[in-house]
Amino acid sequence: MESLVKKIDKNISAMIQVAVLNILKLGMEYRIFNKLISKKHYIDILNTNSIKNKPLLRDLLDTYVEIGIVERTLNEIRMRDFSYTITFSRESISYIQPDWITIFEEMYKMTRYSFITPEHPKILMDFDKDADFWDMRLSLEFNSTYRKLIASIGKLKDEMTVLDLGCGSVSPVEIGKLVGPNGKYVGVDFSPGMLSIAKSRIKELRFDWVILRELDIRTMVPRNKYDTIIMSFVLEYLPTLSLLKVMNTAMNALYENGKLIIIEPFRENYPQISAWEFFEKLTKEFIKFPSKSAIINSLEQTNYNFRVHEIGKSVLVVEKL
Amino acid sequence: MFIDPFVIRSINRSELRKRILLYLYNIYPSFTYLAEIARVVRSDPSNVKGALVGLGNRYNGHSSLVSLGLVEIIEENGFKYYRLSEYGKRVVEMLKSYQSYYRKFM
Repeated sequence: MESLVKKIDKNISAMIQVAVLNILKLGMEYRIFNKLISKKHYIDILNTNSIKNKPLLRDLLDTYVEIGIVERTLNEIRMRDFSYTITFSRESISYIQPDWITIFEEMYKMTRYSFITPEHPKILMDFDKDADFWDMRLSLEFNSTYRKLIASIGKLKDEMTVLDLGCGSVSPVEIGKLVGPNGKYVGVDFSPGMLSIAKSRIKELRFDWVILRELDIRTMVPRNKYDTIIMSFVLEYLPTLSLLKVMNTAMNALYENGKLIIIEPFRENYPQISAWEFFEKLTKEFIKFPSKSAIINSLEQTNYNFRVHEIGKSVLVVEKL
Repeated sequence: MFIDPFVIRSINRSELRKRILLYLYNIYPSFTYLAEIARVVRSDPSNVKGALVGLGNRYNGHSSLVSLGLVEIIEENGFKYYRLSEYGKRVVEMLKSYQSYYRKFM
């Protein structure tokens, strides 16, 4: 399990490093940095740039501020001297699963199209319209690794019951197969496109213990109890205000001694995560990656007793007592 | 292995290219010759050649199955045979699992 945890953490760190390099590339390519050498009025930078999609340009400037490339007062903005070091250790490199690099390249290209118009047909980040692209993302080796980690933490085996919140198109197969044929896997997702791909696979494999539901996890009310509940890369699409409601729903649906397994790049553990978030915002539902503290605060506001175990930098296991 | 969704979508819209790929998938890892493919997919050999490698001005060579890396050519004793590549096999598997999605959403 330790190797899986390291793989997740090292790959997330590498993703963020690549995202930082990519936002630096954008700044050079679109001459944003050139314009920020001397102090400028913020509005002037927005208006004189060739980028037509001004909200996206504003997001990019905000990201530069968050990362420390640019400083901003109320009305003025200027580039700072910025230094960024990437350390390649032999150990880190051995954990890298490079197939996500192509996805990051695609997102970089899509950002260019989005600079022209957010409705550009070459942007493939919509969960329904572009469920095929999302399915390819979810099929990456990195994603399979975190599903293996979930299986290992939850000790998933036949006869167990699993509720997967924000299941996407691949988990129903990879996680679902572990609990069948006598257990039950319930996958919930708000995207009919993703579910359509998952359903065709489930049907072909005849996994009749896998049930898929098109629901919004903010409003769903589970009727049954489960041994394990999974939330992997889903909380970033929820407004902060919904976090308590979702945690309450999950804790309510968990058996005593059951486990809620959360996999996320918790923002306090990854200081430059806003660079990665900039590209993920091409999906209109994306808000921001959650913090561990916000999740624990929400759990504390529920009426349930629990114990939290942190595993590495990206996994929280909540045990219902 | 990343597969460009535009490649899959473009093949999904082209009935002949789809039929050729599905046939080569069914006989994978065996290879076959042009006339046999044309016979199975019930098309003219010149159309099949166009879909496989591009043909003059009539077919765009850049979107041919060989140029896209989905089909590979094997030359033996002066004859050309065609076989699905490993990448092509993955594309066909993706295409099959996206069929009902494409019908509903594209």
